[in-house]
Amino acid sequence: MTFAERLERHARDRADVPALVSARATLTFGALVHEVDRLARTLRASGIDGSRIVGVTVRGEIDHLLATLALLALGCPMVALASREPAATRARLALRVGVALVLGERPDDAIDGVPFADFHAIRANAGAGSAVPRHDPSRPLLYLTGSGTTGEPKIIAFSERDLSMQSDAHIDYSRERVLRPAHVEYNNSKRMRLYTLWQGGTCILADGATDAPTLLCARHAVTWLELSPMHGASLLEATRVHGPLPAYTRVRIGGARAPIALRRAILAEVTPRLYVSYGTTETSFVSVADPTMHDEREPVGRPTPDTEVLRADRTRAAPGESGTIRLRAPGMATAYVGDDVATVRHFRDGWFEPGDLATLDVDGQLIIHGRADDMMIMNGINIYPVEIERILERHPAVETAAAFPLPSGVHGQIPVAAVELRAGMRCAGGELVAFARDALGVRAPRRVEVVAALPRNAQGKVLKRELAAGFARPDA
Amino acid sequence: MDARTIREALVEGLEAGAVAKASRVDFRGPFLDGALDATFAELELDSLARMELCIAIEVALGVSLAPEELQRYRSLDALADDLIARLRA
Repeated sequence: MTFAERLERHARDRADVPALVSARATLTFGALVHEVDRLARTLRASGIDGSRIVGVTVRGEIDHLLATLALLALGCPMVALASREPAATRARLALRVGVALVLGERPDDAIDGVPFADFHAIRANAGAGSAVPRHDPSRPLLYLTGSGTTGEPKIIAFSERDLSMQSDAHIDYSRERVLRPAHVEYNNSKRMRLYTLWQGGTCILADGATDAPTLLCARHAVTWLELSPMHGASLLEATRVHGPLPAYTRVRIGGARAPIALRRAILAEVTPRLYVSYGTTETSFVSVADPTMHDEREPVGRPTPDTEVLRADRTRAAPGESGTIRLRAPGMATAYVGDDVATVRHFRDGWFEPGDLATLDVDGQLIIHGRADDMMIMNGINIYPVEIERILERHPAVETAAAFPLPSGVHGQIPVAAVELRAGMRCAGGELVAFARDALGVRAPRRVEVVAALPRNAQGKVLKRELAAGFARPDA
Repeated sequence: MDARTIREALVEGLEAGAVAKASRVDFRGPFLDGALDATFAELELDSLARMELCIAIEVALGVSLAPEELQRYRSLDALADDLIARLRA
């Protein structure tokens, strides 16, 4: 079944149930299907069909979802080229995915050498064009970016069939009103909205509103509030200012470690209905800890039997023993696009191995101990040291750069870096921060220290742990 | 840590969050000198800008603040005063 067919079913069975709700508009499933069909027809009449990959730079949440659903209806592969990313990053992703057309809103959304279509001009004409033909739901259509070790995010492509299987294995949102404040341009936020729509639930869209989530939950009768740990910390503060969440609102935290102190504070001050989940971009949802499960171990719930922890010799670890995790899940990815090395490394024998260290405890609880590699996660954003290092080393004054995280109780990890300058060169750390920010946006290091010499071992490898330990923290 | 260092950290955080007012010459210098203030309403911080300001404070001053905590402060001066007090405590 395609997304369009599924939405048509909802439009028949629950035509008046809201599908998308923002401060500016509400679309019922009936209206959503109508709008998506009108837009799909016009996109098709404009020459946008399944024959080429479309990059989507559309900022409004409802507009973005309409574009996504219309492209799905056309069987048209797509990737979000997020407006918040620097132009160079968008262009690079478009090149890697093979984007043949950008569907954008502004002239500066265009990418050199790639045809551009104006979303709003097309939407203004919506309804023109003939009926949209059916297509094969097993064709990869939704390109997402995931984690990576090569310095660039890995790319994963999911078909509608994959997404439907992931949706069916997810928390049941079919009668729920789900608010995920993170913007739809972010991969997993978009996918979660698609799950909700597939199931027939209602997506509540913050759509850039800066209102506290407590207020949004009360205003829109939100039954599920989905947050990163950083947003969880913010929720605590919002509760102190605006009062608690409605009694019917459950909170789910995912995307990064949820410390027990945060969990306890939320349970005490915000809601007793706290859930903490674990998943990956490649497999989607894996497990969720319900309100009875939070303890010092920081568990993420009891996963399905298709979750295993392996020792270094690849035998299964005993309960309570840590090792690397491997996963199988309905609709999971089986390869990375254009990255055979990473595919071989992470997809083995029908399993996905994310590189996370974990324990399956005697009571079946999954405990995540962090990444086996050096990837940093700041507020749910995956940041790779090598991408920072490569950018800094493009600066004419920089000889060698080493990026690493500063631990943060609020943000998870904050990327910082130390650099050695070329002989005779002078450069301030602030200039390098600005240089990196231009290229990396939110993934840039927030502090760059210029050092006389990076600490190295006998083989010349930079000792990042030593750097991090000696990285001068201000007197607090 | 002196008041100017703290104010410099705040300006850097605002610039990281692309807050236009922070880079204006008629704001930056007077604010660093303690001669000018700005309310958070005037600064029009979006969620990304609030996050960047909190990260800059943590990296430069070692004080952890969640973005929502900024709502406690009426203005940058109030925030700077609180940071000074925390760092002297």
